[in-house]
Amino acid sequence: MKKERFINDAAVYVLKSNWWLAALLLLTIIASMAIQLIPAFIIRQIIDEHFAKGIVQGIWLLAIWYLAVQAGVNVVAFVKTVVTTVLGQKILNRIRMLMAQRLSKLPIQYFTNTPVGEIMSRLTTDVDAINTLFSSGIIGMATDLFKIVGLLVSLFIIAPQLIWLEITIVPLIFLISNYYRKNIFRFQKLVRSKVADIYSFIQEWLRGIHTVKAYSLEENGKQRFREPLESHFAAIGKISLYDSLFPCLMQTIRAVVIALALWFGAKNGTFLSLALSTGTLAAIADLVGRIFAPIEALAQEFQTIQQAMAGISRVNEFASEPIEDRVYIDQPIDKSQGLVIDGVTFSYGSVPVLHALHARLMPGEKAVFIGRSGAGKTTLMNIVAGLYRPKEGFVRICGVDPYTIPPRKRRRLLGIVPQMPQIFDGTVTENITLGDETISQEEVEAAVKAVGLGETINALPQGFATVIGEGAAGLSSGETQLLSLARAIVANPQILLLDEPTSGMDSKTEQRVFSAIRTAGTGRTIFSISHRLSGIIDADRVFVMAGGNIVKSGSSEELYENDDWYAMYQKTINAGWDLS
Amino acid sequence: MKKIIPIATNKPRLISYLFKYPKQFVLHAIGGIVYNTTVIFGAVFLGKTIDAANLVNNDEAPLSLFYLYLFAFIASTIFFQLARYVKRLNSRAITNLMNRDIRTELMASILNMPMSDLRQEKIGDLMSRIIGDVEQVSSSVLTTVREIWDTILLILSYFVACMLFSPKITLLASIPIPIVVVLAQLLRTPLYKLSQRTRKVASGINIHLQHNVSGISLLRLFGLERSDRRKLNTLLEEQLRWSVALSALQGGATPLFMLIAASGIIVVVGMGGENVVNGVWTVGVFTAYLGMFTAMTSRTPSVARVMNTWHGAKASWDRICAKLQGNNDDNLCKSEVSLRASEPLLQVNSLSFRYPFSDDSGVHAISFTAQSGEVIGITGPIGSGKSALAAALSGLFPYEGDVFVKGVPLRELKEQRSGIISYMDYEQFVFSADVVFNVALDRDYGDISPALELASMTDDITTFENGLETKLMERGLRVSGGQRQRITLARAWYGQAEILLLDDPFSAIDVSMEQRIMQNIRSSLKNRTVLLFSHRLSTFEMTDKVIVIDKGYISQIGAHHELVQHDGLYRDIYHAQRFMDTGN
Repeated sequence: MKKERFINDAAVYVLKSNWWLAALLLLTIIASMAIQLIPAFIIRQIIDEHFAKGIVQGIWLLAIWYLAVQAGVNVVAFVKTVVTTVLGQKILNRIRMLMAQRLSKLPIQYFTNTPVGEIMSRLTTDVDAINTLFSSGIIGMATDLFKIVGLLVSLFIIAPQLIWLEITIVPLIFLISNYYRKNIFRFQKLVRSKVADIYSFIQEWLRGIHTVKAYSLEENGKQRFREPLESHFAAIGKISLYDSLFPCLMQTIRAVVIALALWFGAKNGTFLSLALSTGTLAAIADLVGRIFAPIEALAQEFQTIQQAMAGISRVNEFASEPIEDRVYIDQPIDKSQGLVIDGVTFSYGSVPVLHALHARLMPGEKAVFIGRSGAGKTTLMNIVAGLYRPKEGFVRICGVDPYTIPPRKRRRLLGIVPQMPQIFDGTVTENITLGDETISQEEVEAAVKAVGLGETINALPQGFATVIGEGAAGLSSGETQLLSLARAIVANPQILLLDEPTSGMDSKTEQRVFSAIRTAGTGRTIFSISHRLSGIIDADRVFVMAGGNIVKSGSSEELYENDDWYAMYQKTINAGWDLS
Repeated sequence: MKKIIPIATNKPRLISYLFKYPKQFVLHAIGGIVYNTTVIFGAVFLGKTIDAANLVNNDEAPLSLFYLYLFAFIASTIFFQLARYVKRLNSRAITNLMNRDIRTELMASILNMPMSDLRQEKIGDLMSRIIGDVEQVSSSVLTTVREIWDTILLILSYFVACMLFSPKITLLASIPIPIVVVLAQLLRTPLYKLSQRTRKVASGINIHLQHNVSGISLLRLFGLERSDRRKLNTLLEEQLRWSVALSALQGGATPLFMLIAASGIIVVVGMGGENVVNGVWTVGVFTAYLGMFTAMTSRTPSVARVMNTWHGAKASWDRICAKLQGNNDDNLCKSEVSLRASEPLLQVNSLSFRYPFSDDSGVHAISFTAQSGEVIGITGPIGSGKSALAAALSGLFPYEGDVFVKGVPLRELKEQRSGIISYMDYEQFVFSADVVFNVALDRDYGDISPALELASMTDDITTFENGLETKLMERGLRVSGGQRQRITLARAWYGQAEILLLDDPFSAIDVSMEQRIMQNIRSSLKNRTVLLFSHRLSTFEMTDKVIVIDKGYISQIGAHHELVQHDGLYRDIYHAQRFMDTGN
C-alpha cells in the first residue's frame, strides 16, 4: 500500500506555484525582525547624542522616524497576516480537494462502516488543524526565531559584554514557558474530556427522558449531573490557576532580568560593572524587555505544532485508506437485453449474505423482490446498482457490467430511487440534473411532467429556479419522492431501481407515487425491492427472498394460488401488521 | 461552595450573577484596582533607575540611590503582579462557578418540564444551550469585567500618571485616542458582517461535504462525483476570497488603529526630548513617560469592545432564560389522594389520546377494565395506536376521558404515579451505568435478582465480566438488543408498581425465551396486572384478555381462545404468524 502524503504534496505544490508570495512572506519575516530593533537604537541616539550633549536640533526628526518605524512594524505585520492567510488557505483547499478526490475512490463499504461524523471531522477539523499548524505554528515559529536572533545580535552590538546574560536567560525563559504550555495543553485535554462527559450525560438523560419521567428520576438526574459538572469544575480550575499565575510570573522575571542587565550595565560599585552610557542602558532595558514575548510565543507554537501533528496523522491515515480497484470499461449498451443476475454470491467480511442468486428480467419487465428484513434484498439491489462487486457470479444490465460502467454513462443506463429521497441545497433543476450539464432544461421539465410534478413546481415562487434544500421547504414527502423519481428518469435510463419508494407514506400519497412510477416506468425494466405489496400489484414477476436465497418466483397470481407461505405473507402485510 | 440559585419567577438578570459570589468578586475587584493603578510604578521606577545610573555615573548622586530605585523597581513589580494574579484567579473563579451553577440550574429546569413539552425539544438544541450558550455567557462576563479593569482603569491610571508629568504633552499626544475609539466602533459592523459572511461560506462547505458524504452512494450511482468536486472547488475558492478579505480588514484595522493612537508619540519624543535638553525632565522621566504612553495607546482599540461583548452575550442569555423558565411537570407535585382497594385496579372509560403536537391519529373511545392478577394483551397493525394507548396509560401526557386507578383519576396521582405504574416504553432505553442502576434506578426495593430472574437475565449476568457491576456503555452497546430489552423489563418489574405497561417487550427476544418469560410473569404476578402491547401473538395464549386495536379504535375484545374461534383480523393474523414461524 502506497503511503500518501497529502499534506506535503499540497504544501509543496502551493508554495511552488505561488513562489512570489512565499518569497514575500519570507521577506516580511526578516523585515519584522529588523524593524523591531530600530526603536531601541533611536532612543539611544536621542539620549546619548541629544540629551547628554544638550542638542535640541534633530530631536523632532528622530521623533518622526520613531513613528515611521512604528508604522513600518504595522505595515509589515499587515502584509504578513494577509500573505499567511492566502497561502494557508490555498494549502488547505488543495488538501481538501485531494481528500475529496480520494473520497470518490473509496469503496462504498468505507462509508457504511464509518460514521458520517468521523469522515466530516477528518475533512474539516483535522484539516483546520493543519491550517493552524501552518499559520500559527510554522510561520509564527520562524518569525519568533528571527526576532530572538535579531534581538540577541543587537544586544551584542550595543553591549557585547552582556551577551552571556542574555544567552543564559533565553533557554531559561523557554523552559519555563514550555513547562507552562505543556501543562496547559494537558489540562485542556482533560477539560475537553470533561466537557465530553457533560455532553454524554445530557445526551443520555435527555434521550432517556421517557424513562426518566416514567420512573420519576428527575431528582436523581439533578444529583447525578453534579458529578461531571464538579469534575469539569476541578479540571478547569487547574487551567485557571496556571493561566492566572504564568503571565504574572513572567512579568516579574522580566523585571528581574532587566534589573540585572541594568545592574551589570551601570556603575554599581563592584568589579563587574560595565559603566555604559545612559542611552545604552535605556536601549538595553528596551531590548531585554522585548525578548520575552517571542520566546513565550515560541513555546506556544511548539505545543501548537505538536497538537496539530495529531491532525496531520489523521489526515495521512485517511490518505492511506485502501481504495477500490475499480476500472471503468466503456461497453456498448445493448437495449435488446434486460437484466441478468447470474450466480451472484456476496458476503460482508466472512458473513455470507447472498448465495448464488440467479434471475433474468426481459427488457421492459417489472419485477419485485420481497422478503422480511435481513433476507438480502438491499444487498442485491446495491450489487445490481454497481455499488458492490459480487464475490462470485456477475450482473449485466443491457449487456453492461454496472460495476465498471464509466460514471458519465451511468445515468443513461440506470436510474435509482432510494428509500429516503435526498434533497441537496440548490434549485429544483439542480436537484434533478445533480450538476450534470449534459442534461437540458427541456429534459428536466419533461421528467418533472412525467412524474406529475409539473404543476407543483410551477406553483413555486421561482418555478424551476426555486432553491430547495434541507427538509425541502415547500415540498411534501410525497413530492420529494416524486422529485427523486424525476431525477432517476431524466437521463432516460434503460432500467429503474426502486428501493421501497413508498415506505412510511400514507395511502393517498402512496397511490400518487405509484401512479407516477407506472407512467415513468413505461417501457423500462423495473427492479424493485419491498416488504410491502400493496402497490406492486402491477409487477410482472415476484421474487421471494429468504436468508440470502430466492425461494420462490412467479407472477403474483400464481404465487397466491399455489403457495401458502406467500398467501400468509401477503395477508399479514395487507393487514398492516409488523413482519419482524 | 455549592449554591443553587432558586428558579426566579421573572427573568433573572445576568448582571446579578456577578454578585452571587461576593468573596471572589471583592477579591478580583481589589486585585484589579490595585494592579491597574500601581502598574505605572514599574515604568516610573525603571526610568528613575536609569536616571540614577546617569547621576551616579556623573558622580552627582550616591550609589545607594541607584540601588534604592533598582530595588523599588523589582519590589513594585512583584507587588502589582501579585495583585494581578489575585485579580485573574478570582475573575476566572467567577466564570467557572457561573458555568457550573447555571448548568446545574438549567438541567434541573429542563428535567422538571412536563413530558409533553419535552417531546417538542431537540436534544441537540438543549445541549447547545447547556454547553455552548452558558460558556458564551460566562466568558462574556469574564471579558467584560476584564476589559473594565484592564482597559478603562488602566488607560485612566496611565493617563493620570502622564498628566502628572506633563499636562501639555499628555493632552496634545492624546488627541488621536478618542478618534480611534470612534473609528473602532464604526468599523465594528462591517467587520462583524464580513466575519459572519466568512463563517457562512465555511459552514456552506461543511454542509456540502456532509451532504456528499451522506449521499455518496446516490452521487456514485448517478456518476456525479466529479462534477460535485467542481462545485466544492468553487466553494473553496469563494471561502479563500472571503477569508482573505476578513484577514485584510482585521489584520489591517488593528495595526492602523494602533498607529493612529500611537501617532501622539511624535509629540512625546519631540516635546519630551526638548524637555530633557532644557532640563525640565530627566532621562528617566523621558523613558518612563515613553513606556507609559506606549502601554496606554496599545490598549485603546480595546475600549470599543467592552460594550460589544456584553451585547453578544445577550442572545445566549435569552436562550438560557427561555429554558430556565419552562413549565413545571404536574407529576412532580404532591398528591393527597388515597387509593380505594375496593375499586378495580384499572378502569378506562372512553379514553381518547394522541401525542401532543403530533399528526398521529392516536386512540379513541377506549374502554376496558383490568383487575388485579390479570394479564391483558393489546395488539393491532402498525400505526393502529398500540403505543399511543400505552403512553396514555403511563400518565405522562394529558388525555381525554377517564382513567381510574383504584377509583382515583390517573391525572391526580401525581408524585404517587411512578410507584403505582411501571411503564416500559418501546424505546427500551438503558443508561450507560451498570446493571444495578439500570434495574433499580436508585429506587430502594431491596434485592434486584428476583426481577432479573423473571426477565431470564440471571445466566446472562454471569457471563458479564463484572457481573452486576458491568457498565452497559453508551446506548447499551456492551449488551445485545435482547439483553437490553430484558434489563428494561426487569426494571419495570422491580419495585411494587401494580400496573405494568410493557410496550413491545419481546421484539428482540426469540420465541422460546419469550415463552419462558411469560410463564415467569404469570407465576409471580400475584396482585399485579400486566398490559402487554405486542404485534406477536404467540404469547397471547397466556393472557386473560385480548384487545385488538385498529385505526385507533377497539375492533375486537375477548379471551384469546374466543377470538381465534371467530372470523376476524385476530384469527387471520394469529394463523398467518404461526404458519410463517412453524410451517403449520
